[in-house]
Amino acid sequence: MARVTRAQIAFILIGLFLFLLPVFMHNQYVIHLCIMTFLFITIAIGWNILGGYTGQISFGHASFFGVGAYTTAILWLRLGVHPLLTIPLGGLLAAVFGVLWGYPLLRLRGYFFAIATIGVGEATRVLASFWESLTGGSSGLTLPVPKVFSKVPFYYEMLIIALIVFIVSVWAYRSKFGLGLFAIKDDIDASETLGVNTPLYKILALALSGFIVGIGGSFYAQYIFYVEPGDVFSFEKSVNLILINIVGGIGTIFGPIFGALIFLVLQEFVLVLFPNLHLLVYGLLLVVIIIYQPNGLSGVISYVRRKIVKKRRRGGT
Amino acid sequence: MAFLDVTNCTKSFGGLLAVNNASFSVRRGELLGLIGPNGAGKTTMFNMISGVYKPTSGQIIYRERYPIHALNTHRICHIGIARTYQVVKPFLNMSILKNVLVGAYFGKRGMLKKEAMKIAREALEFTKLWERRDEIAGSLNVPSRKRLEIARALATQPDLLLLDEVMAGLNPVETEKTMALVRQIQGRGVTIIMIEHVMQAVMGLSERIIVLNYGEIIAEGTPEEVANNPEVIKAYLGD
Repeated sequence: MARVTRAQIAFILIGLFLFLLPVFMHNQYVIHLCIMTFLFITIAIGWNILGGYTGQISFGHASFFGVGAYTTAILWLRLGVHPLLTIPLGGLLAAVFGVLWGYPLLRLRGYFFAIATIGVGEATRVLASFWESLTGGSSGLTLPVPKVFSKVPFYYEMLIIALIVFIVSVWAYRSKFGLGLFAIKDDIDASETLGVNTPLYKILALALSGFIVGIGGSFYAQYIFYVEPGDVFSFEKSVNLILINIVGGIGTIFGPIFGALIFLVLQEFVLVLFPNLHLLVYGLLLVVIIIYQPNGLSGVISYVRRKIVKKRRRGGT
Repeated sequence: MAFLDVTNCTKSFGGLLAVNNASFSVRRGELLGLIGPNGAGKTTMFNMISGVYKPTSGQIIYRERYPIHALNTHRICHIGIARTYQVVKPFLNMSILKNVLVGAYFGKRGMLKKEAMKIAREALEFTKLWERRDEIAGSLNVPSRKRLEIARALATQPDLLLLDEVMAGLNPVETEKTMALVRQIQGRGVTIIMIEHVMQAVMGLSERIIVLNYGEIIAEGTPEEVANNPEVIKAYLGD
């Protein structure tokens, strides 16, 4: 019980710090970095619910990001809907989109599902590029940039989304719902035999996963003021979500957070110093992690923590 | 009509007839043994009763109202049929407690956390695994994994339990213990069908035995009757 409370205190302190950060930090570049970090944490958590909790590896999650982004762009541009209102709609549409392709594809197991999701991701991107009347084609849509522009409201918007999504992911990890997902990941036949409605649980995981990534895409569109299929639907974005989770720890609560932090730090700092070297560093990190610690940074941290606890116990008695 | 009625059930894989036109029924509360040489179709029979396979033809009726052959696997669990797997399938990355909680939460509908915990605890104490509840299932040895398999099935609160070779690979002491466990489960009113190669166990426990050979039922009766049946002796020992 004591440890739960401590975790909650830590969560509240970090939350408070993040809420106060823009008050004393006026560097727009740092604020921008924070926003992108929150965004990547959010969508990585979204991927993790399907890929990490349920074990259904998707290479097509950029499609949710794109659907969210285009929902916002089109509703805002064509129908004048307030962008903030489009965020839940972007998530919802992404979730519906996920159910549509998930219903047939989730019958596939393991690698076959993973390969099929590549098709989904690419097909969506191509569709968005050619459906010019709706999406503006491959040149994309430019959104109205306001005359006075501050990043701070976006900072709070994204921070709140990330916090809510994080809480949802913790709930999913601990609930009966999550138990069913982890059971499916370990052994789908045994799960069925023990009464888990595996087709339903897989589709719910996909819908929740898509909803979260869709929200991220929706936010991205109104923050960047520009959407383009080659960016929001890119295969690279799908792969990045997987890499972030592998580095941070697939199927763990904090994995997407650690992974996204490292990913953005490497991208921003190494990219500035040596263009493209960040990919090399990232690749090396990936190889080392897959070989030595399949649970990623989360695995490393819990290993170190266990060591410390052991030492303390030995020293204490 | 009986507790479970299997009527003219056939399962073929391509040209191979795994189970051929099998019919039998199970009475409520009995302990039925299912034996036969390797490849006789015993596990295939279990897979049909638990919904893992659909029969190619024939029907299976549970408690006179549920057409098993037309239901999903998870639905079959919800109406009270549980099974263990011959090759055990623990959730390797979960704790022992969580393994059993899956059965407790999902076995019957609308299970609350408190209830599920109580049922899981009971199943684990019953199978002597409660002390080790926080260990990862992957760290268990084979005899313990078999007990976990039973604990998980029991946590779904079944009325009919299918035990697929739970004694295989156990030493004599462990076999005795598992036999006592099976008797206790039956004592709680659970109907049991067990596939078993360990003759001491199946002869000692079963009230009735069905013998399968090449997918067909060749004998049915009390352990003594079956043991003295010339067809059965021929199937096991050859001519």
